[in-house]
Amino acid sequence: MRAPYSSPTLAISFGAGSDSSSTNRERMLASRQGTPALPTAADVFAAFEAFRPAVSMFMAGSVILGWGHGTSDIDLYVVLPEASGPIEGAYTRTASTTDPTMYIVLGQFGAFRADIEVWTHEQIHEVIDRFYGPPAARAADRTEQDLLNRLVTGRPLHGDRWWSQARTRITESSYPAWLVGRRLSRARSATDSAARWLDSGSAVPAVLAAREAFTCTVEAVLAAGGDYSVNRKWLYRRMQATPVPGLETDQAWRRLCLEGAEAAPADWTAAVLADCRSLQDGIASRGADR
Amino acid sequence: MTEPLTWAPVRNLGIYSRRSGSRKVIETYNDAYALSDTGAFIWSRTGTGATVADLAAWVAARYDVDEERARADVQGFLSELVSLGFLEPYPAADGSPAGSIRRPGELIPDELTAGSVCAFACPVPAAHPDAAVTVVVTDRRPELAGEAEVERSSTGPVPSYQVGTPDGGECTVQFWQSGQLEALLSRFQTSIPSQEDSQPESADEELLRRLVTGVPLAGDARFAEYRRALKASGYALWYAENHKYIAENNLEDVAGMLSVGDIESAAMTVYSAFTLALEARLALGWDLSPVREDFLARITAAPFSPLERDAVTTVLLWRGYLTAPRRWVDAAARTAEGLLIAVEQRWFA
Repeated sequence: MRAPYSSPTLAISFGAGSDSSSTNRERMLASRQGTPALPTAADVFAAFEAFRPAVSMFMAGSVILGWGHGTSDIDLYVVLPEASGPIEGAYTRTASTTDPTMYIVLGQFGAFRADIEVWTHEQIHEVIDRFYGPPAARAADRTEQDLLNRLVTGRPLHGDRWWSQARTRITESSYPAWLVGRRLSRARSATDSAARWLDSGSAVPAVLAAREAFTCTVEAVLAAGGDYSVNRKWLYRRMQATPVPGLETDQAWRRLCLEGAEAAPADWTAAVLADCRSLQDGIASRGADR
Repeated sequence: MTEPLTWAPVRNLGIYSRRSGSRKVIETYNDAYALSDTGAFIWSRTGTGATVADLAAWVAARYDVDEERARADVQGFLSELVSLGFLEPYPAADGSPAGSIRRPGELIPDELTAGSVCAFACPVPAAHPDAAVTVVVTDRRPELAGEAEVERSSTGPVPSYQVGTPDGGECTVQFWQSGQLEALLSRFQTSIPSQEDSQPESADEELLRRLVTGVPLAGDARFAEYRRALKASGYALWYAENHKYIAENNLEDVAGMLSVGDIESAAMTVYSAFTLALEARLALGWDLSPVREDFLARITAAPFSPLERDAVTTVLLWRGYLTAPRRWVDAAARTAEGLLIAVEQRWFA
């Protein structure tokens, strides 16, 4: 039996993600003309009363790094002194901390849409503290790694002292070394996998595994140079921004684009794995120098 | 309506569409549009190469409406979508796991599964011998020597142990309570959660993937019952929608990066979107594997047309990027969108 019919329709709801009005939308579009202004702490407090007790707020992401474009969001982090209870309209996500709940709120500040992550002081320091403890305690999931990177590369909007102290605690902890080690471990696993695929005569999987090994190695090299980002989409920009001995950006880029891989997959895989080893040795020797 | 029916609508880059509760919406950077059921059905078939006439015929077949009115409504609706910049009219096109495995039964000693509700494990690919994991579903606490690692599940902690295998290797054994597994299954049985809702942890996703591809080691009947419940649930669609959501976020970014000439970042981002879109498409057939280097073998096993396979391989291997980067990025974005459309079509399956 056929379903009952009504003519197809679209109903506009202004403001993707953040509910607003046609007036707000006009204001937002107007503010995007010229050089849009970044929000201030006062703008954030005016829009979100629940954030007033925040011990710190910082902005991060491509706009702050100068890599943004016309539709880039701002990533805003709000650090509350203690758990706030449910925040209206927020998504909840879980962290690995004792209090696992963190919130994501969507906001709009002038020209910019904002993804707002809400954490507590306790949660953030619980994650950092793991890197002042024994090796077995060291752990951060992807969301937490992203948080730590954003904190280090961000720009404070409120509570500068809190932000500065937390930033120093991260850079002086064992976190950078842990991150490098973790990426090297993933690189080694992908390298082993590439070798096994080659042994079994599977050229394309070997190439893709070698590319993954190379990507992980580049990420390890960058982490050793102070780039803790978890975001691969900016890898080319990150290689340009963090020069590392032995890593020439254009050559690395050609590896990532698989130049020559299809014509001679075994040779290409062997050459890429040799590059990985050389870069990994470079990290080890620079570590020994320090 | 006097417009011809032979043009095929193509989706513009940076347009999301998603399910939010019972609503289907199209999103741009600035706005969201709620679609009626008929509107969502038509939208889910745009970008597939289908012409206006094809879409109208599908509407008339599905809904209680005559073809003439369906054609008029489809034309009017598509014109609105074109005027909003969601679609572009295009002339109609002419003509229109490798490696050996170890048997999971060789992985762990029998005493670990004794008294369990059931136990299962996945075949271990030769390229990833360290991926051996056995799941034991039990109602009792495991009594094993050594310190347990604790995996984080949305249903509570899951202890896991490294044990020696009869062949001299090592295997991770996870102990799940039957209540945990059943709670997880029930989340996807009556309705499919929205992407705004709290999400499963990676341990949960791994467990469900193992339930799909695993081989029972003990409690075969319960294992079969759990697997049947999973396959009757909306988990694969939720998983595909989750990947689609992230992929479309990436595609929106690609459009912005291209607008400022950042071709390298656009290429990396579209590759990520494409990879997620391919995983979303494969998930619809219950292929939930996380092994990306094996993509070519996986699409060979899935119902892809030769044209789709060519398009996927071109992007996967970056064919032509270095000679014509902008064209490659555009083609990769189109390929990703094509894969994602299959997810939307499941809303009407």
